Amino acid sequence: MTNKDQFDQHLDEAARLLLAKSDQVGLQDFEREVWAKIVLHDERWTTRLARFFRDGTVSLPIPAVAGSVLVALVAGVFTAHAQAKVYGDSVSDSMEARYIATIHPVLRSASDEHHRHPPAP
Amino acid sequence: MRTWFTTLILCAAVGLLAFVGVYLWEKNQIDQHHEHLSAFEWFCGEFDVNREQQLRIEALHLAYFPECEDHCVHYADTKQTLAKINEDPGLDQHPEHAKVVKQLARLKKEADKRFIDFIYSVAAEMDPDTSERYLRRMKSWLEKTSEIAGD
Repeated sequence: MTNKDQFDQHLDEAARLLLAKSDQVGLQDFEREVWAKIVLHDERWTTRLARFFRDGTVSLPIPAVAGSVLVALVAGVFTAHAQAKVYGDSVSDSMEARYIATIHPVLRSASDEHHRHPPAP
Repeated sequence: MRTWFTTLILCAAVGLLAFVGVYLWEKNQIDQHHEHLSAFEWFCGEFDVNREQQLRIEALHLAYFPECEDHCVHYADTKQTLAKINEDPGLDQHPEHAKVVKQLARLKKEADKRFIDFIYSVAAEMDPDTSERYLRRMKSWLEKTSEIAGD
């Protein structure tokens, strides 16, 4: 049952009870009790989130859960992409070192390239 | 399902899975690309060399390789001779020691000169912006060769 259904149900119930007790005095307390219940069920996710941090309530609103998961997903993808770029750069650096070893005699003698003749294009 | 703890675990699992999946996929792509890549093919890709430029630059490389190889062998032999002299305490002040050190320094200088001539001849065949980038990166290796020669 959604919040709106609950809200409608409570409103109907409150109206029914108010009508049934219309001849009685001291309705203000009764009304306050009914509206307090309605407000509790119609609470917004922002106030619930605020209450979670204030009171340590164990339940998180669904949009907060979905948002957190989405943020984790995006962060995972971006971090992986950045890490892969670092890996790509290191591979490219080693290829550059291999290229240099084919065209500079000092680096060539320091590497094992001079054992392989002829050096390739 | 909606407690802070399960949300935390869920987020960590989703983030980790996304990281591992994307990283392994991209790493695999990089490895596959570089697996059978020769140094010259890397050079062509890295500096956006077109087919026409590639043929001319490849000819320059092929013409330069034997000269580079000879110089490399000469340099390696001289370095080995110097290492042998250094191992022998009796040859510390020997004229042969000074001669070999001088010869090695001369070979290093010659190697740098040939290297610079060669990279400029290659850069001349490239587009202006890429040739500048190529020269900047190649020249940065001159310091490293000095470090290696110093070792």
